[in-house]
Amino acid sequence: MNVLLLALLPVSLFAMEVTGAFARATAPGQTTGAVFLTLVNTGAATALTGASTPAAGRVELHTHQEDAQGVRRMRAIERIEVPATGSTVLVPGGHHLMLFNLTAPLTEGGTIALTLAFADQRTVTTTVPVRWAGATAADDAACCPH
Amino acid sequence: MRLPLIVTAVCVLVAVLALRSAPSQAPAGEARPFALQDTRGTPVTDRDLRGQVVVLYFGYTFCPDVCPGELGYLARVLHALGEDAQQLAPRFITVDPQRDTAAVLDGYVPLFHPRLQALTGSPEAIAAAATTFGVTFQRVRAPGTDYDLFDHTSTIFVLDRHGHAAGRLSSRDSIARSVATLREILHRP
Repeated sequence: MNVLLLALLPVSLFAMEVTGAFARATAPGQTTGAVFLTLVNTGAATALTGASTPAAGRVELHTHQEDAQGVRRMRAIERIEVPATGSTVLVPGGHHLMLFNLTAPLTEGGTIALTLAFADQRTVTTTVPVRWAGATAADDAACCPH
Repeated sequence: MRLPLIVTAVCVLVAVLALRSAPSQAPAGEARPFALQDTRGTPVTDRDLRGQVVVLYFGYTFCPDVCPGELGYLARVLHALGEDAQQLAPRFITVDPQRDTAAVLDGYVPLFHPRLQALTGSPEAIAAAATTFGVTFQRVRAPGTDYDLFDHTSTIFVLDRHGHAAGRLSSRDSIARSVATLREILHRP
């Protein structure tokens, strides 16, 4: 009976992968941080609707709009769509997860645990490495001695 | 009858004197005066940085994406310049002195590059500097949120050794291009 029930589970249950995740290092006294990552979805279309981490009081989904004068406007958004059998990137200058009320500075070389919540009630937990403050990718080593 | 000859001679003399006193350097932009302070409260004006090529970015530390991205780009450019970076004065000017205290700024700038320093000041002094550079920044609070953000122009400004506007760096350009731009300005008289 249990085996039959398992067969009825949607294939998409185990179909969301997180790749290239990284956070940027922060200084003592900074209360906010950012996490970037790529969502690789082999299931049905869904949307990222929230996230949480022990490293911060709360996490919001944010994106950027730049007007014709070059003024950047960052705004919170409710969801980030993830297409069926496709991927969505959260990269510098675009979407990102914004961490508020950091419990401690994010230090380069450390990691944070991150749980992502999706519209179809899925959650995914992953370990996110902390890179230097100016990192633009997960494999971005610090450029400069400090 | 001698008058026209004298007038001509005077005109020629004036013209020759004017040409001799004209500086023979690349066209420079406008002066960019500012009166700010470092994180110890010591006044820092544009005159204090004469002799160095100044590279400036206006931002705030509450901003987790764009500002670290631009400073990270600047850090890469400084690193790529090697020894030449010693002749640059890279500065981060906060538009948010309320949250960006001296302690926060002192911990923030070294995360990017050892030569990057922070400048701050009164809201009026910072607003004046922003106006001088044509930087727009505005405190905003989106409905339903409990925090302030700043919508702000995100540009890296360059001043030549005489404190005059010498162009901008864009993080959309390759590191090599920005390095070349700065080297050209460094080599100006």
